[in-house]
Amino acid sequence: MKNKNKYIILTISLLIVVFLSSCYQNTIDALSSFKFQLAILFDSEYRNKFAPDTTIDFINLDDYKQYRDNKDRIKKAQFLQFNYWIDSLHLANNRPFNPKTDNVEFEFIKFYLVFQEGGGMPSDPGKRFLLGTFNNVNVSNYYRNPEHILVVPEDVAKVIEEAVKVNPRFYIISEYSKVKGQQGPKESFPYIWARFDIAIRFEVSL
Amino acid sequence: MRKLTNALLSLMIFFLISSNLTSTEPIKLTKNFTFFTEKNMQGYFKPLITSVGESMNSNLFTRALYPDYWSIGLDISIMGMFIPDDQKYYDAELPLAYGNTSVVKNALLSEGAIIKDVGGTYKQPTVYGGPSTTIFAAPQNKFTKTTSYNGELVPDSSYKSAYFAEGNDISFMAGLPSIQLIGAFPSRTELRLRFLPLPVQNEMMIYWAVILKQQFDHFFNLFDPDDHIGLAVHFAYHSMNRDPGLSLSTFAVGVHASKAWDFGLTAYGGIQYEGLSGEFKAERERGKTSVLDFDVMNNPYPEVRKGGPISFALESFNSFRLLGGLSYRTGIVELHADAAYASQPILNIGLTFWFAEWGKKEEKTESIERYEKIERYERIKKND
Repeated sequence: MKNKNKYIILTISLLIVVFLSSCYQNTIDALSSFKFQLAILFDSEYRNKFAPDTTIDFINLDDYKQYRDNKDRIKKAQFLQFNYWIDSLHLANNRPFNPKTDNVEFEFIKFYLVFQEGGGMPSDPGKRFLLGTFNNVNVSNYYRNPEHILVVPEDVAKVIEEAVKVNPRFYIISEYSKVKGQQGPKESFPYIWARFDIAIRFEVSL
Repeated sequence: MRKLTNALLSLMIFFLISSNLTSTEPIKLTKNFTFFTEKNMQGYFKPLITSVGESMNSNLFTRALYPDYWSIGLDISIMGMFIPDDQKYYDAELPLAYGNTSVVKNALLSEGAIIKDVGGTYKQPTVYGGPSTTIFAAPQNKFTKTTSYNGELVPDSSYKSAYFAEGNDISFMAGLPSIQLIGAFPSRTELRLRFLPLPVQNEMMIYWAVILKQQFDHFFNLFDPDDHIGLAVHFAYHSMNRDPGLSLSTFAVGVHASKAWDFGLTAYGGIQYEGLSGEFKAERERGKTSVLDFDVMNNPYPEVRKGGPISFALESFNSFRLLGGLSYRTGIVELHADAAYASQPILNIGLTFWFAEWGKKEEKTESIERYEKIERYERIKKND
């Protein structure tokens, strides 16, 4: 009887040890990495621009301490969301845009990401990743208003996630359409100050 | 016996001295945690501190029937806590002028919906939670360098987007395993001692605990000894110290009861009140920081931009525990398992090895020598 009890105790103990060690392992795995989001800010100030046109901004993640300090341990860098708003705009006659009285509407503004290659921007359009499109951009609605947020498509985010592990330098291309009701081939904007923020999720090993 | 008492006293003195071993290096926040404000770091880690406190106050007792002789044992137990949903998020403090739309407008995308102009605090994940939510911000006048707001000067009006740490999606958290030395005394008193040194950034962090239990039902003859029912009080004190940097202490006080059966099984239960306090102090690593680092420069929290030390009080969500369990003893081994209702419900399981027992009172039995037996037998036969 005593021997039987001993075997029961031993079996139960072993099962418990196996079960709980797997729980410990799961916890250790979960706590072995740290995830945080980082908002990368683009302050884009341009003079003498036209519609339709494109603007190009360059970003080097090495300029961000959180990235630089952790880059050797980054497991994932997922581009999640981005938003866009206009801070200041001057109309053709160099008069500042007044959101209460003026009406300017772009058919769309598209944002692309392209990784730097050989110290410059590759010309191959196939290397551009479309982050998102804002349609019917009425400047009054976007004037110092951060509520226009897009989610980066999953397939694009996946490709960028892999690429950014080895290359932290990339360009953001903003493609402005023509303005609705535009008369000539180009509409002049002597001054544009726009901003877009990209939220990136980093997962780093601890 | 005196030797044993001296040994226990020496061990206790060693624990107390060890906890005050002075280390000189302050804790440095690793690179990942420098963007936390004090309040947000406190909120982010509070459920983890709760788990630590709860695991420390686990496995304090099993049976309330303490022997009236000396014994020594070693107990090893492991436990885990279920993390409730409300501890997966905390109210993160937002930059000062968030919510004041004349200074800054903000917006976030949560579950497909745009939420605008949040201020004060906003729900963000704790260490056990899920994804965080970046709050996008648009200053309303970029050219103003400082803005007076609620009597304070907002560092500048270029209010930036706020971002936060994410959780690890943990629903069941393994607690700190406990290894404790047990000494039982003839007064039906039991003492449990724990001691664990852990290296933290080149300095030792010392954990020690004293758990004292006293059976008291026999003082009042509450139960028939043959019923094998016991009632006891318990008190525990734990300290975790890494000076400078971390000081944590927690205590538990409660009552527990048990009912044992002859075949080795014991059912036990108890309630206890728990408290936890302490402080965490650290320095943000500044070595490689440059004022030109975009994330430092653009951080909307003045505290983070300034750098400097970080310090906050350690707190726990838990103050009460209701526990029930079973133990089974065969030979020197006792297997015990219990479940407890607490702020984070707990499962605990362990093994106790009773190495030595002495000073047992001999049972009064009539010893009859062989020749006496014959005499008695003959006497009975005669009477017949």
